[in-house]
Amino acid sequence: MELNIGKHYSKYPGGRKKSSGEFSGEHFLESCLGEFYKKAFDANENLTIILDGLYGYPSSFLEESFGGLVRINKDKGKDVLDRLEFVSKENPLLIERIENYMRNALNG
Amino acid sequence: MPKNQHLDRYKKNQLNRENALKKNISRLKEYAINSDILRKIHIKVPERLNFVSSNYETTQFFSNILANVKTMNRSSEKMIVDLLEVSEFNSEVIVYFISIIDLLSINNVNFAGNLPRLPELSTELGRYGIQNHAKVRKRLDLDLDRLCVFPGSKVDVKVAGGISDFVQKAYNLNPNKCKILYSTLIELMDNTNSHAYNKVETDLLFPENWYICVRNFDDHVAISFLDIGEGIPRTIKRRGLEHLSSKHSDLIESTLKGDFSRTKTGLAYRGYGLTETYKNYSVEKQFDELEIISGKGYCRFDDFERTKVIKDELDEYVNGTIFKWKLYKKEIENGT
Repeated sequence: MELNIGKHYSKYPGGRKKSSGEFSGEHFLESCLGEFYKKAFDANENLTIILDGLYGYPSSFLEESFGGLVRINKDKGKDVLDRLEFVSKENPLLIERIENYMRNALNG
Repeated sequence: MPKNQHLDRYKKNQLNRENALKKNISRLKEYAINSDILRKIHIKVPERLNFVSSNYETTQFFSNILANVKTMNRSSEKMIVDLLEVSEFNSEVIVYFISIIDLLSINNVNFAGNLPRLPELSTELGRYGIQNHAKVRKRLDLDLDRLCVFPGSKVDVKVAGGISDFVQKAYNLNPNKCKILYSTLIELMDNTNSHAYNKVETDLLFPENWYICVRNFDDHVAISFLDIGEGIPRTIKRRGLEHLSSKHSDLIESTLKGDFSRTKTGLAYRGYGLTETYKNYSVEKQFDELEIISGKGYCRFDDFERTKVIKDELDEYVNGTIFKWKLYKKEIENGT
């Protein structure tokens, strides 16, 4: 299963919380990423996330959405990191950043 | 006539009298504002407006405005801001001044002012769009190709995207730098929205806005981002002896470098925004000449040794936080 953030959600990632404005990490998690992850999990598939094509990658947005996905699922014993694959031709270092947020959320 | 009818007529007359009185008061207020009846409070703007080189005079000027807003009688007094003798100012002070004008408006302060005697400074003020915030009699033109001021609240992805597009088109900027610029603006907007005005004193209404100024020079783009909230030193978590004494510039440096989680939310995963911004300057070298003013702290970073901070403690407290940085055309052309 594939989630292209720019196509399926928005090219304009925002801040952390919904209260801070549109296209926040919290909103992305609830309205898009969480649903894609659930579908992939139920179908026992991996979820490939395309990061290219966005205006930027604010850390609050990335932490709240990807870190948040880990926080929601770790109590259910699901290993989110194993099921997600990231693709970024524009900025490969971004993948490491996101995975760090996810690992911190797992250990936090 | 039945008793109830008398009562109804009495109530109707009473209501008419009250409405007429309200109308008269409002006409009188309007007349007073437009004429010279209101007692005037004159506030003189210092000759040089600069938070660093003329820190005392500049902060005293803004403190004086705020102190007068608190004590003045807003229905019988009018504030006159006298800019006539101003001979020098920089971007962030003018944008800060615009934010203070917005504060005056939302606090229903009657205010007026004049323009600097020097025509080039008057024209320059116009370029900042001061006429969009206060009534200006003289015709002042915006110069949107060279200078834009964006006020806003919350995280505004369209403003951040628009600035990023503008800079890319103007300088054919490397796309990665544009993404960093976009992300930096979003982080600063988010910080303003989440922390800057949380503890701000309540006897005045604050616009709770951020302001971004983008200036387009021949060899670089200069960006300033500011708010007039509590400032970094008052909004971060302090530890140990920092409660007793700590230089504001040290607190700013420590917050940027992410020495430990300073977010007051108490959540370990919060507080990435400023450290990421600093990393984009110091490690990724995605922008230049970073400067931060907040409270009494002033931090300027050395572009040759990017983790080295030139710190200074200002004499007077600057309410809010000012971030400034530059994107040089030369570097942009080299694609670095």
